Amino acid sequence: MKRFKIGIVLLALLLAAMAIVPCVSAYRADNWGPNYGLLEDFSNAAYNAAAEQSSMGYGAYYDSDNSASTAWSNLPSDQVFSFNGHGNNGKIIFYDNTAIYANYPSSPQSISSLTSGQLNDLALAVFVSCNSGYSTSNLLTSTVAQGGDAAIGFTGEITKAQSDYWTGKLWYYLDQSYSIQNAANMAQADTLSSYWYAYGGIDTMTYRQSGSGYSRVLDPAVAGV
Amino acid sequence: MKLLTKWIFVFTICVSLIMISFPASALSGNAANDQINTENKIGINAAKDRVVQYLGTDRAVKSGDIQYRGDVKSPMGTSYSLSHGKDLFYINQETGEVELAYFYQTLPEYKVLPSIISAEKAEAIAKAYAEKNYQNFSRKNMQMIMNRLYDRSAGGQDYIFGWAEEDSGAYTLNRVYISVNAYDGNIISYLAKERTITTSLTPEIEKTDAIAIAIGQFEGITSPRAEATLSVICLETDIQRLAWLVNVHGDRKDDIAQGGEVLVDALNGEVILFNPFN
Repeated sequence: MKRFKIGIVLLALLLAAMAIVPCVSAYRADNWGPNYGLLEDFSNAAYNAAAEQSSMGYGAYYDSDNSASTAWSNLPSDQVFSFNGHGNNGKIIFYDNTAIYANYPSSPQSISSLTSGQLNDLALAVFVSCNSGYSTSNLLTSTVAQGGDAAIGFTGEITKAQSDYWTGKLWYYLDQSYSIQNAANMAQADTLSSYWYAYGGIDTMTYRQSGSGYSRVLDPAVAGV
Repeated sequence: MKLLTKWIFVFTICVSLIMISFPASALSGNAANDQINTENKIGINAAKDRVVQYLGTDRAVKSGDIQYRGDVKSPMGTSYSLSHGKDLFYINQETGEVELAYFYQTLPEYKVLPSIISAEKAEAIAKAYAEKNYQNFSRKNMQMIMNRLYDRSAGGQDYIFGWAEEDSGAYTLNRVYISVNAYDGNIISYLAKERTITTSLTPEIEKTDAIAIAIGQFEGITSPRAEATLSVICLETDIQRLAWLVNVHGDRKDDIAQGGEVLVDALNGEVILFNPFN
C-alpha cells in the first residue's frame, strides 16, 4: 500500500513537471504591448503573440506597464522582440512615454549605438507601430544592422483593431511553421477577411533582413544566426 | 496523509482524463470528413473538390492531395480552411465559393532584381483572374477601390487591386482583392466575398455630420482633416450595417501620427468602432 502511495505521488509530480517543462526554454521572446489608458491598451496583442510563441517553444513573456529601460536591457538576450503600440520610424514608445530609438546617439537607448553584432541572437523583431518601416533609416534597418536576422514593420499609418488582429495571426501562422514572409502575408489576408472594408494600413508591411532571414521558419523555436 | 493521498489520486485521474481527451478533440476535425449537407452546408469533400476545380487542370491537383485544417469563423460566416502543400484556401461552408486563396511564396534570391511589370499589365492580370473566379464580377457594378504598388524592401514588390460593388452610392460587401507578384505577374492572394445585402443603402446621417462625429472622438487633435466613404460593413455575426468610414488625420504630435478610423452608423449616427492609429 505504501508503494502504491509513493507511486501515486511520483505520477502526480511527473504530470506536474510535464505541464511546467514547456514553459522553460533557451529561447526568449519578449512582447511589449503598452497600456496607455482607455481604448489604447495593447496588452492583448502582446499576450496573444506570447501564447503562440510559447507553443512554438519560446520562453515567451508579455508586458504592458514596463518602461523602455526594461525592454532595452532584455533586447540583447531576445530571440524574438515584438512591440505593439505607438511609435514612428525612429522610436517606439512605452506606457510611461519612455522610448527605444532607432538611431538617436544621444539617448542611451538607441539601437544604432549597440555594439555591432549585439543582436546576433535575434531571429525576428516586429514593430507594430505607425510608420515603423518608413524611409531608408528606421527601426528595422537599425535592428538588422546590429545583427538581427529579420524585422517587420509598416511604412504607413496603421490602426489598432487591424494591427492587433494581424499580430495574432502572424504568430498563429508562424506557429504553423510558415516562413516569416508567408506568415505575415497570410496574416494580412486574414485581417482583411475579418475587417472586410479596409486593411487599416497593415497592407504597408515592409521587411528588412540579413541573409535570408525573412524566409526562415521559427517553429520550433530558433535563435538568430 | 490519507486525505492528501486521496486528493492526489483524484487529481491524477482528472489530469489523465484531460490529457487523454486532447488527442480526441484534435481528431474531431477528421471525423467531420464524412459530414454531408447538414444545416445547409457543403461537406468537406465537396469543398476539396471546389479547390481542385478552382486550381484548374493545369495544376493536376487531386482531391486527396488537399488537407482539411479546420473551420475559420468570421463575422461574415464560416469557411473550411484547406491546404494544398502550403497553399491555403477558405471555402465558404454555405455557398462553396472560394473566399480566400493564398499561394505560398518562395521568392528567388535575385542577384540583380528584375524589372517589375507595369501597373496596367498587373491590373489586366488581376482583373482577368477576378472575372474568372468571382461569379458575378461582370454582372455587378464593380468599381476599383484599390490599385497600388508596394515596395516591401526585402519582401520584394507586389500590387494589390481591389474592387467593390457600388450600389446607390455605397460600397457593398461584395468585394474582390487580388495581390499580384510585381516581378512575374503570378497571383499571391485572392480574397472575395459575395453576400445578399440586407441593410438599407440610404443614409440618414449626412457625410458632414458623420465626419464631425468622427473628429469629435479624437480628444485634443489639432488641424483635423477627414474623408469618408459610405460602405456596408459586417463586424458582428451576420449583422450588416450601413456605415460612414471616416479616416481622420491630425497634426503629428511629437512626430507621432494622430487620428485613425471611425465607423459611424449611417442610419443613426452611433459610433460603431473607434480605431485610432498605433
